[in-house]
Order: sequence, then structure tokens, then C-alpha cells
Amino acid sequence: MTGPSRIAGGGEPLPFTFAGRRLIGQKGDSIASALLANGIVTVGRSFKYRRPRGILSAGEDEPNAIVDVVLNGVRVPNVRATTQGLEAGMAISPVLGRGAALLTQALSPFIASGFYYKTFLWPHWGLFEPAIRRMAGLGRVDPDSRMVAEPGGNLAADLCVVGGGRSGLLAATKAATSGQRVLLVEQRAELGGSSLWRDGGDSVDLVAAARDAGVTIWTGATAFGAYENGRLGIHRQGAGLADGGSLWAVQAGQVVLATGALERPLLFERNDLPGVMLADAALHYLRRRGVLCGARPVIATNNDSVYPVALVLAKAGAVVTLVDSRAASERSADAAAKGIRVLTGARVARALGRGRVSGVMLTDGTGIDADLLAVSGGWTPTLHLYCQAGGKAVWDDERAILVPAFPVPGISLAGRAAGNWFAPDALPWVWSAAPEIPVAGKSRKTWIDLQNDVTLGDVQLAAQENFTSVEHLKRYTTLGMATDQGKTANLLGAAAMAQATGRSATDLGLTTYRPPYTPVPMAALQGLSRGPLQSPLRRLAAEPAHREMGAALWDYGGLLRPAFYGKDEASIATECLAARQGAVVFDASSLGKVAVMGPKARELLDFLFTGRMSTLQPGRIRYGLTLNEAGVVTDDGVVLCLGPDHFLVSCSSSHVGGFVASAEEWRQTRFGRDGVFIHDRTAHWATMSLSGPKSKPLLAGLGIVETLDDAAFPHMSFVMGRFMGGEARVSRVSFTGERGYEISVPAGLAIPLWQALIGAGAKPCGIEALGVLRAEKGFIYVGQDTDGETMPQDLGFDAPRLKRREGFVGDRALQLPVAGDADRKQLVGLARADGGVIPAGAHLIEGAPRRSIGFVTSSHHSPTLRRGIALALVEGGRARIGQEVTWFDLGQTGRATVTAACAYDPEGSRLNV
Amino acid sequence: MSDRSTFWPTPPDWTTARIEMPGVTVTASQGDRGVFLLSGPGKAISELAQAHPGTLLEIAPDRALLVTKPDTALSEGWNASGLAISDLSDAHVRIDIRGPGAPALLALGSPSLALDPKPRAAALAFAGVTLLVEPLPDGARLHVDHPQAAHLWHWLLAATHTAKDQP
Amino acid sequence: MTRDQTGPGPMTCPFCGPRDASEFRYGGDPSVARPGPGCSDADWAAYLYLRDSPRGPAREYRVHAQGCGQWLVAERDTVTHLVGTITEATP
Repeated sequence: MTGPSRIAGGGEPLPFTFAGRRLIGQKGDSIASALLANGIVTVGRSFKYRRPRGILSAGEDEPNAIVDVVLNGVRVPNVRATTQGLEAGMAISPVLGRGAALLTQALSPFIASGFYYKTFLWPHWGLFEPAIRRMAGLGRVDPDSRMVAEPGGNLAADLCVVGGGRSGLLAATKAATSGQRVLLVEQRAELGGSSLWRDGGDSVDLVAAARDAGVTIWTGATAFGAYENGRLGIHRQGAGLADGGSLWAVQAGQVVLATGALERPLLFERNDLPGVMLADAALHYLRRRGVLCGARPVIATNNDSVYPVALVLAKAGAVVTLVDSRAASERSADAAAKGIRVLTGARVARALGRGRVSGVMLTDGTGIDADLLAVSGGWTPTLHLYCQAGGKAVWDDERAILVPAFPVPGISLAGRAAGNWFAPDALPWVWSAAPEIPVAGKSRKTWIDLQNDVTLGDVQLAAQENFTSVEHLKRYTTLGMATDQGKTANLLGAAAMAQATGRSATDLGLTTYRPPYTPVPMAALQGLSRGPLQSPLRRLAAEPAHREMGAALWDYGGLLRPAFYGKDEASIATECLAARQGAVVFDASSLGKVAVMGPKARELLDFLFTGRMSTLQPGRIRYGLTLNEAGVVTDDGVVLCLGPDHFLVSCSSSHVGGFVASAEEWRQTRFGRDGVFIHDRTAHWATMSLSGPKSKPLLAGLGIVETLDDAAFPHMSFVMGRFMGGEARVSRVSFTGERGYEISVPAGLAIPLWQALIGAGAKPCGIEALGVLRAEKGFIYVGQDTDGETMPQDLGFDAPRLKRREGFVGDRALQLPVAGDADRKQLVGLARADGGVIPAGAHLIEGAPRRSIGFVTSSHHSPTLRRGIALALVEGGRARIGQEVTWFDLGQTGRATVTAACAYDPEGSRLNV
Repeated sequence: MSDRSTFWPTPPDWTTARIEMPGVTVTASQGDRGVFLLSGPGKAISELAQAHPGTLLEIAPDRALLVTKPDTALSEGWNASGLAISDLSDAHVRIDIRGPGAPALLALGSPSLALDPKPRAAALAFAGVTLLVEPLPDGARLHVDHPQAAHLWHWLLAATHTAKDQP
Repeated sequence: MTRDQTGPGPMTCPFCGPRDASEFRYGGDPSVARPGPGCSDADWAAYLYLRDSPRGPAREYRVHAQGCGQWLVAERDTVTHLVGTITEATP
């Protein structure tokens, strides 16, 4: 049997387990090299067919060796064994899936590509789906395991070099010597790239020169994505398995990709058998980790790059047979002269063995005994970042590699990524060759994408079913969609499709490359955006006072506000009754206070609002709607006139930014920057809103304003006053329908003002109660009681359309035919005969088959009216007032009467109580 | 619905708030300046700034923030010199980030500060918030609207402490 | 004020200088003029909903939303995404 074993090395021993077996590795091992060193060839089972799989490569292109690892109680699934360093105490599990492998193999004709469109359809897919999904799949996620990541950062550099091999080090040093700020990133822990295991000059001097020149060098750092505007995303690995590392964004003036090239496998029957490995990987494991992957290797190739591998393995004591598909050459003769058994003009037909490689069958019928089948089908330059940045990789027939089709500004290639591999000796050097697609042999047992279990037969099936473009091939077969992103499969798949459809590989092209190049932990992407930091929440200046009063705080559209005061929602009804019977205060500080100033201020306000604001006099307040150019309501608010050229717009709390942005757009693109100025003063002011029939005597007791006499201070006007030695502004506006006063003071006095009002007897009132009070009055929340089609006339504001007003945003849209439709959804109220509450969002239905004629936008139990109240948008709603309609919600139906939107005090007499 | 009071950490007391970590010190102040937003011709802005010593942060070709002595009386609105003025004295919290570690922390908050740590125009995006940056010899002073100051402070706490220290 | 930039890189605001592209917001097509009063229904609908989608060099509004707040006109190639001249927008 033999197989892999460690023949050299000596580092600190690291104990670990694999599938429960206790094993020992060495410091510096990857999980893969440790497994190989212990003679383990089979490391898991494949995704779909559950076939045994072995280690194919030594790098990020590995498709098979995906394992789950538990260390110090943290479970990390889907770890790539070839790039994850071994740590003492790791408990490693192969990914096996559930369900018998034999059963899946028997089912294999029924689960070929696209099977879910064709099989398991009767009686319906849902019957089979759970079982099939359970049998497939990769690792298990443990919800209690948390990977932790540090915040990374943002960097600027003149040059970023991706790849710390010889070419990368040379490019970085040259640039740094000429004075540029250079960052070099290398995904491995060591610098040197392939020179670490391939002959051709070592890198020790190059590394020193780079450091001396002042290059910033990051090892264990992967440039995973090239983004717009010349930015690169870089993930720096953490200290160990559970460390998610850190995320960096680099703004680089220029980028050099010294990313090397990846070896391609060969295609033959049973090429997925454990014991089949890329030739370069076999060299890597021996040179870097002292692991000889087989004592009797067969090395199969179509190019010269394996010859140095053969010589190195032979020197280590392996009995090597080299199978070269090409005719005899100087190089093959040279190898034979050095004692290697070389068979030229020979190809592998299939791998032999039960569960692992025990021999090789050639196309001419020759059988060779083997414990390792090392393969090389050519090389593919790693052009991912160039492609992500807008480039296109095309197949170069002559050199048998991918090359860039055109230059992308700011990006250049170096080394093997640029197609340069300098000959290691004086003999002719042909290091890559075109893929050969076998015509004989079982195509359903010839693998192209090992991780997603896509075979040559699947590609041919796709061709047969006319999914012949590379993008269709990918999606129909899932070729290239696994965690390895098809690094060893994409080119072979395209070549197979090209052959199946009689086209050239160049014509076929490749699929779109997208970041990330290798998987990035979610913890690193999340960075600091965890928990409360996910988005910037706005706070009230008086928040400490609200917390002290036992407020339940809730996030309302990005603003943290008191929902109610008390231990549960029962408080909401208490607050509603207090508002209608006594006096309540709620914190309205987040309402917008946007100043519009200058000689063109009136003109701009007339343009932004449907109502005429230019006639507003100092000391007065006017309500208005803002529309978009399609005539749809975007916000409502009030405008205060502070002076002839000085206005204050009080828009909805969650729309301040939107209003300011819209005002600035028209200012800068239509009215001119000199004539009008817009300042957001919202944060400077704190506003407490006092409301209720007892609000007037309560406020009078505080002495903020000289007189509260209604004649001097009518509803929709404001006066200036004093509070604690500074200016205060008191406006008579009401969102509850009761007499109300909004008192604004500089935000530094928010808490004293709140405490003064509470101390004078006002009850605290939260946003939930406010929502009920305003709904009783039929006052809208824009965006809740309006949708993307609601125009002013739908809300009962008929003047803008009927009077054909002009000169405001959306004016022309109100005259379009659709604006006059009789069926437009209009805002109305609804009432149930039994006084119950209609579920918010319920649809109103009629007809057979039934269709929706509208929906409930707000719905509450009203403590004041002692029944349920609701607002709704209903087709031709106002004409239906008095009629009954049917409502429908999640299978439940009921009846309700259409009413006017205002359910409480329609005359508005409570404002002056 | 449930109460989220405990999910959202309480804002700090700005008078005593302080983050002291190796290489970086973060402090805050509020309400002890006269702060005015000025819009209009550049000449008129400079003249007013000269009359009231302090700091002038340029925001746009026709917009600047004047930070001067507390209790300065400037009348709001648009005046004959062509200047529009707003009193923002209570609008901001000022957060100072100083020390040798300040450049890296500032760059973490804003890729624009990684490009240019001494921006010529004060407004930029930092930790997801639009604010004004005033460069200091050993770091920067951030002028942030007080409703967003707590978020900024909690972000700075998270950014200056390692992940293992955090909940 | 005008700033020129070639090649990929940060957006250069004429006033603020080079800034991260995330500070800017797309603002629409500057070649679209708001029809005057008395325009036809079709004209208004075109103003609302019809836009050219050029392949190659194009002009677009960019707002430096998380910066100076200025409305700008940028030249951008819609295929390569390379940004050229950026100027202050005017009425």
C-alpha cells in the first residue's frame, strides 16, 4: 500500500485528532501536510455523490480537503486543510454528510446536472427536497461558536504589490527605491512564493532588499478583491483558527499582480480517486514539509514542469514513472538518462484502486503499479484581480495559458501571472499545454469540478440541452460555484464545452470573476458593525431623563425615542387618556428645524411646498405637503416665518436629511447659490411638546411667555419667550388634536425644560400613544398612511390639483390623467360594528374572484372612543363613506364601515379648549 | 414590541468621558463655545471670522463653521452683508482624538482621512456619520451633531479596545 | 472650479480634493431639463421616466453628500467606470 509519509523534518510536535484518531503533526504543518505525514489519503467525501476524496493541491485551489475543526471549544466549519496551519489540540472532522454513500451512488443517474428541473418532481419536489438536502452539503455551523475579528483599517499607497514571490519582491523594491510608498501583501505566512519549493534562485536576499528599501510587507494577507475607484480589499489572517483576522481597504495608485499561476489537473476516468494529486503539490509537500506523498509515484503530464519534480522525488528515494503524453524530447531523454523511467506518447486512461490509488491504466492498455498519481495538465496564470477590475482573460493557444485581452489602467502583471516562467536549465522549456478532453472512457466518471461533483458527462449533458455559453454552463451544472470557485475546474470546463460544441476556447471565454478570491470570514467583514454599532442611531439630548422616568426606548426610523413610560404596553392607554383629559408632554426634539434664508427664500419655499408659503407673515405657521415630481407626497410639515427672509421648516423627524438634500438640489441646480441658504438647525434645539386641555394653565405657571391669551397667540402662530436666561420659542401646533404648545430651547437646557414641565404636572407621553392620538384625528404618517402613489387629493387636499396651481415640485403631475382617476386610493377611516381592532395591513376585498381594493394603514384601539379605529387607503374611498366593506388578513375576514378619516372632534374645537 | 433600553448603551457624560489607551487619548466637550454656521460670500465670512477670534472650519466655497467664545451674540437669519447665520452653539459635541495612534484610528473611521489626514475641507464621513474634522498637531477634533455623538463614542470605544474585551 | 482625474482612484471634489467615492451620491442626468408650464403629458412623462443609457463617456450629477454638499457634474465612462473632469454644477 505505502502512500504518503514524513521522511524528513523535525519541529515541535503538535498532537491533534482526525475523525477521532489521535495523531501527531509538526509546527509549520498545514492540516493537509500533517494528515499526509500520518499516511492519511482519504480526507472526506464529495458534496453530491459522497465519493471518497483525497488532497489534490497544497494551496488555495484545493477542492477536496475541506474539514470541520474544533479548537478550544470553538467550531469552525469548511476549513481548507491545505492553507490552515495546524495547532495543537485541534479536533478535525472530515465532511461526510449524512445518508449512505452507496444509496447516493445508485441514485447518481437521477441527480445529474439540473436534476431538480427534471426528476423528483412528482407528486412534488417538496417531498424529496429535505432528504436530498440532508444527504448533500458541507460542514456544520455551530451557532454558539463565535469567530472574533479586529477592526482593520484604511490605507493609501502609491503601489500595492499582490504576491510576495520573487517577481513581487523585485517590483516592490524597485518602486520603493524610487521613493514610492509601497505595500506588499502575501497570502502565505512566508515570503518567497514558489521559490520556496521550486529551484530557480532563493528569495532571502530579495526579502532583505525589500525591507531595506522601506516596503511595508504584510504576510498572511490576501488581496481578495479589486473594487471600483482603484481600491483593494485585503484580509489579514488572525493569530489562530478562531481569530477572524482583520479587513483592510487600500487605495493604491498602481497595482502589480505578482500572483503566480495555478496548475491544472488532467482529465481521465476516476481522476477523483484519493491519491491523485497535482505534481507541484507533491513537490511542495516534500520540499517544505518533508512529506513524500508516495513511494511509487506515477507522474502524468502534457508539459515540462513536472520534470524537476520527478528528479526531486527520485532523489528522495521514490521509484518514479513519468508518463508524458507528448513525443520524446531532449528533456525526456535527459530524465531517462538520470534514471527516471519515462514513457512518452503515453496517456492515463483511468486510475485504479478501491478507495485509493493502487495503480494506473494507460490508454494503450499498460498497467502500472502506483501509490500516488501526480498530474500536471498545464498552468493557469492567476488573473482574478485583473478581471475583477474590468479586465478580460482570453485563452492564448500558442502559450496554452490565459492572458489579459487588454490593459486595465492602474494594473500590471509580473512573473508567472504575466506568463513568464524562466527556464530552470539550458533545455527547451514548455511549461503549459492545452487541455485534452478524453473521448473514450466514461465521461460520467471523469471529474472536472471536484468540490461540486461536476463531471465531463455533466458538461456534455449541458451542451446537449443547449446550455452552451460559459455562463449557462456554470449555472446549469454549478461548475465553479463551490468554495474553491473552480480554480482547478473553470478552464477545463470551458475547454470541454468548447470541444462538445465545436468552438475554440478563445471564442467561448470565461465566466465573470467576482470577489472574494478566497473566502473571507463574516466576522472580518462585519468588523465593528456589531450589535448597536450596526447603524448610527440618533439620541435625544434628554435621553437620561427619559431613562430615569422608566421609558421603554425603541428605534423609530433611526431615532431612539420613548415608546411609552411604564413596565408594559398598558401604559399607552393611560397616556392617551391623560392627553385628552389633562396635559402630557412628549419629547419632539428630533423634529426638523431647517432654516431657509435669503432674498429667494420665499420663492424656494413656494417651489418646495404645495401650499403658498410666500404669503406667510412673521410669527405665523402654515402646514404644507412636499411632493416629488411624480406628484407623490414625500413629507408633511409646518413652516414658521421668523422674518421677511428667514423661515424655519419643521419637517418629520425621519425626513430631515431628505428635505435638506432636496432643498439643496433645487437651490444649486435651479435657484442659484447666492439667493437662498439652507441650514439644518435641528440639533441645536430641543423641543418639548405640551398637549391637552390643561396645557394652557400649566404653561402659564412656568412664566416662559408673557401672555398665552388666544387672541394674541392663536393656533398656528408662535411667540418668543425666555427660559433659564436664554431664548425660548413657543409654537401653537398640535399633532394630537388637543390644545398644544411646542416649546423649543437650546439643547443644553433640554433636561431642565423637561423636568420643569413634569414638575408642573404634565404626564410623560411616548410615541406609541402619540400614534393613537393622531390616528384618532386622521392625521397621517407619510410613508405609513401614504404609499408610492399617494397624491395630495387622495388625502383630501384637493386645492393643488383643482386650482391648477403651478410653480411647485410635482405640479404638472397633478394634471396627468392618472391624477384624476375615480378609482384612486383615498384615505378614509374604518370602524367595526363590534368595536374590535382590524389588523393593520389587512386588505379590503370585493368581487369574485376577489381582489384587493385597498389596505389598512394604521389601526389601534382608541381608549378615548372606547373602540377600534383605523385609517385605510381605499379605491374611491370617499364615495364609499357609509358603506360596508370586507377586510381580509391571513385567512381571517370581517366587515367594517367606511368612515371619514377623522374619528374624533372633526370640527377641531378641542384646539382652543 | 419590546423595550430596547438595555440593547442601546447609554450615552456618556460628556464632561467626564475619556478613553485612555496606549497611543491614543479621546476626550469630549460640549456647550462651552459659541458656534455659528455662516453662508454667503467668502469675503463676508472672513470678515466676520476676523471680528470673532476662534476657529473657522471651511465646509464649502460659501459655507463655514465659526467656533468662538461662548455667549457671543450674533443675530440669526440673512443680513444685509449677504451672510446667512445660524446659531449652532448647542448642536455639537466636540471629540478630540490625540496621540501617536491617532492617525491610524482616524484612518479607520474614514478612508478619506487615510488619503489626506489634514483635509482642506472639514466635512467628511467618519464611522458612518457626516461630521466636521479640525486637524490638531497631534490628531484631530471632530465636531459631531449631538444626536449622533453617542454612536461615535461607542464606535471609538470598540475601535480602541481589542475584540476580546468586548461583549 | 474644475478638477481633472484620469485612471482609477478616489473621486476628486473640486472643493474638498480627493475623497473616498462613498462620500458621493449619484444625482441624475444633467442633460434633462425640467419642462416649462403648459408642456404636454408626454413631455412630463418623459421628464419623469425616460433616460438615455449611453455606453461609453457620459455626464452625470454627483452630490458630495458626506462632504461639502456641493452638486457636481462628473464625466464618467459607463463601461470602464473611469471618472474624468468633475465640475461644480450650476443652474
